[in-house]
Amino acid sequence: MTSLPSAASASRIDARRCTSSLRVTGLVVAGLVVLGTLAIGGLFVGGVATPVPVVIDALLSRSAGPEAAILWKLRIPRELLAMLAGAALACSGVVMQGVARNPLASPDLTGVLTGASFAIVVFYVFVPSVPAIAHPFIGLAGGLLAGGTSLLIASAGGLSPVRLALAGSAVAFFCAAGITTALVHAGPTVASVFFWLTGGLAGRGWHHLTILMPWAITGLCACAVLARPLDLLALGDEAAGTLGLNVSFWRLTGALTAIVLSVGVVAVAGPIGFLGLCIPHIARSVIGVRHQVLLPVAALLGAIALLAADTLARTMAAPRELPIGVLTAIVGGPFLIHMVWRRTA
Amino acid sequence: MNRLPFWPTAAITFCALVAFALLATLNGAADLGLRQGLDALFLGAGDNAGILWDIRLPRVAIGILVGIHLAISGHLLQSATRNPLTDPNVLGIAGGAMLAVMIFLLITVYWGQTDGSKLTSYPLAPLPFVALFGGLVAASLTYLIAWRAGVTPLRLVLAGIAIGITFQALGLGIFAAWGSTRMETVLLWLSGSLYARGWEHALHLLPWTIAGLLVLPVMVAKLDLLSIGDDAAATLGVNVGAIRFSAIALATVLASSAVAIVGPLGFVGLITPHAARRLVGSALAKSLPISALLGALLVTLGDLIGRIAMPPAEIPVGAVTALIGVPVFLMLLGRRT
Amino acid sequence: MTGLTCQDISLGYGAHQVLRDVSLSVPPGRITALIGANGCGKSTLLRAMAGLLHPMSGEVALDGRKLSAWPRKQLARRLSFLPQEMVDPPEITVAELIAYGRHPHHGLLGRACPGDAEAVARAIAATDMTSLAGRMVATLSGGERRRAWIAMALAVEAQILLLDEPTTFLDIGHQFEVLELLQHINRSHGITVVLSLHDLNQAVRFADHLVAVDRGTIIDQGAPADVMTERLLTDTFRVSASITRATDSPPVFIATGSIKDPSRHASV
Repeated sequence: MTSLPSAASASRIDARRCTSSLRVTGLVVAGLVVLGTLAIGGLFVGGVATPVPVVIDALLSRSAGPEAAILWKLRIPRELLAMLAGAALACSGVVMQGVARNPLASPDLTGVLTGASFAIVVFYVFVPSVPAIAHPFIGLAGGLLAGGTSLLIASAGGLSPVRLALAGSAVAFFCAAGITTALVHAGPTVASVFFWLTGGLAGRGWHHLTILMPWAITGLCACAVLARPLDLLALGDEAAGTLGLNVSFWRLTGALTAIVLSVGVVAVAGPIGFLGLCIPHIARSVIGVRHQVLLPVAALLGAIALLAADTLARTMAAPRELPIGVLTAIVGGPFLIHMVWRRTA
Repeated sequence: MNRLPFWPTAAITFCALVAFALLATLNGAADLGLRQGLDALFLGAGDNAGILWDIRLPRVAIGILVGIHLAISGHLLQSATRNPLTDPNVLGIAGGAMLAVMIFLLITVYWGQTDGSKLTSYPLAPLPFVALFGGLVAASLTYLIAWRAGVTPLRLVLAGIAIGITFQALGLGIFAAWGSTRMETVLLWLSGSLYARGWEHALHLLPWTIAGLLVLPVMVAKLDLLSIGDDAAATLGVNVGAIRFSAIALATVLASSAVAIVGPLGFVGLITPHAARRLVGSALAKSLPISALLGALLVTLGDLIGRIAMPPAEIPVGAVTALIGVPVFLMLLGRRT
Repeated sequence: MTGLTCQDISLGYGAHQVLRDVSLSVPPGRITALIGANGCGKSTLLRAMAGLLHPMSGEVALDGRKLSAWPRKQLARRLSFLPQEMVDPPEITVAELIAYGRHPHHGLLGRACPGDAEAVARAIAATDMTSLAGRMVATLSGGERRRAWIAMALAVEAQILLLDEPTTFLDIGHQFEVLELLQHINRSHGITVVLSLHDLNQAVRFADHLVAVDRGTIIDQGAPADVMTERLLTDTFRVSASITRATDSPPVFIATGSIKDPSRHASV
């Protein structure tokens, strides 16, 4: 018996690679179809149900009635926003988990979302003159501080999932206490801030899309560059280093990218929990760990998830809006619990 | 490691508690002179006696009770899970209690039994039970998820965090979905506040305190033995599963009833046990009473700071304890390797 | 029927069976050593003998009464067990740790009883821990730590002492120190000692009764000189070895190499 792989096994490997790339294509196509269906379906439903011919007329700019206004000013930008934000959050989670080599690393569990919210709330309450376009920058500072603190403290002891979860939830708790203090100080204007804090896309339009766009696009482009280094980082610092990777540079770039991706979302939609934690795991379980494939698939899944959640949020109790945070918690919470259950088996 | 003797330490902590409680009673938005205040307090003299007796004193008393509840709860959990980084928040108990109270308040408002514009007009008596129910559900879920032929501390903590953030997100969501008019009052409860608490609140809390303190002596010796590992404790005649379960149950009862009255107060239960163990060593017969005293002291102090930091607005005591407690906790976490 | 006996017990965790149909009678007042390869089930057997693990079938009995039928504290007064992994409690002195051993004698409220101080003092003296009694457990060295835990188990004043690999992570000097301590306790107080050991020469030297466990069952037991054979070494530990026997001292063996698993050759 020879120790070299035989021709038969080599061709078997080829076949597997072939089916896996077929599988990826199939999944992406299926995902795009679902996303498209959701987006088009979403145009017809909402506070005011809109019949098909009216929607078509409005889309083709053949009418200028209130239906057209609803579509062009409310539903279309909101759907685009949901897709972009969902993709950004999911990629943020993938990158953060890759950089920290930790299944619980995510924008929510590291305190990045709460930290960014804290910074934005402080400016909102104490310096109301700051324009919304600057909110992502403020959020970036807060997110960096919060995420950096929890990652640093957790890494002092080897960055185990428990330590990271404990440090992250403590940092988040701290920021939440800060938010409370600021809100108590603000007094009666609390309600609008509070609604923003539970996360949601109600009443967001083109203006918000222009705020999110540069952050999300920058982050998603950075992901394309990060795919390869993230694969290598998964081998461990020393192995990656001997393979010629500048570990600390790429780790820093990755963390920064993850935070940039999530603070744009926080600025326009508030902290939306669970997506950044759960979507990467789902994506990984269907497509594997190669980041070149994982990142786009996660982005697609994130877009689908947030679009679906947002459509439900605005239609389930119409004309009232449900907060997206409840919907993501109802689905994401059990998922997280299941993950803990399985991992600690 | 230098350790302090128990009785002097307890006496000093107790004196500090009394001093700060007195200070908190006398200090406030309508300031009284020391002389005037003491007269009003002890002789019932002057117009201010009413303010002191009906508004400030119950508030201080509730703060003390809540501090005792949370400190003992945290200490029990840390012993039972053999993990010094555990507390009612980490194990999801506070999240469960909060969600239950949210749902309960929502239902009472929905049925129109109260106008809901003031927290004081909500039905009060069922609150500890409602919160207890929520806390127990969360704790049992945590326990169940962590259970796999026995419970290990690591799984408990992970499961607790998962349960906690899920319940908290649901609670906040319900709250946000519900409209804006009562937001401020509930927000104050959510952040853990002693504002506008009266004697009736204290009376609803006291039975739980007494019941908890009566059960403790039975558990202390066995809980101590848990610290040397499950197998070693079991061969010394301790029913490890039973004692761990009952300690977590008692901790849940204490934490939930406190959350019902003042909302989730973070990090009191997490950091006071550490301080107590440092001062007098880890034997529970000594460290638990010190823990309780320190917890009462921390909440009293936090409330006092919250009231004098930026008047006339009040920072909720929960925010103050979190702002103090989180850095301490992160320091502990960073030092442990 | 007196003493600790195992009758046809099968042991395991969940659905996974580790030991099957094992029978063993611990000779009272003697030192019994369990030997066997890693993962053969020594620790599992010890845990079952300590009443920590219920057998899937068969029974472990003390004085003819099933362990599960004994009230916990009564059992604890008769039999004490030292796990291999010792969990160091935080912020506690050696004396306090040793005093934990008195728990089985306490009532519901855990109040101290009259014999406590004397028992703790005896345990401290027997293990030579007098000078260390006031130290924090966390500051002890490996050997001192092991002695402190043995003292804790002695403070129980049980007639039977079970120890799971009491010499792991100790250097050779401390290994002998611990074993000689156990031998002293056995000889002077008549306490029955059951322990698992990795070093076969030490097992032969210190034990009166040797039990060899392999692949989930007891393959041989008896006087050390009888159990320790070339065949045991080749079959159980897969080493080729030479055994030196002298009339006035226990047999000594020197391993000369490992024996490859025959099934592994076949698969290549």
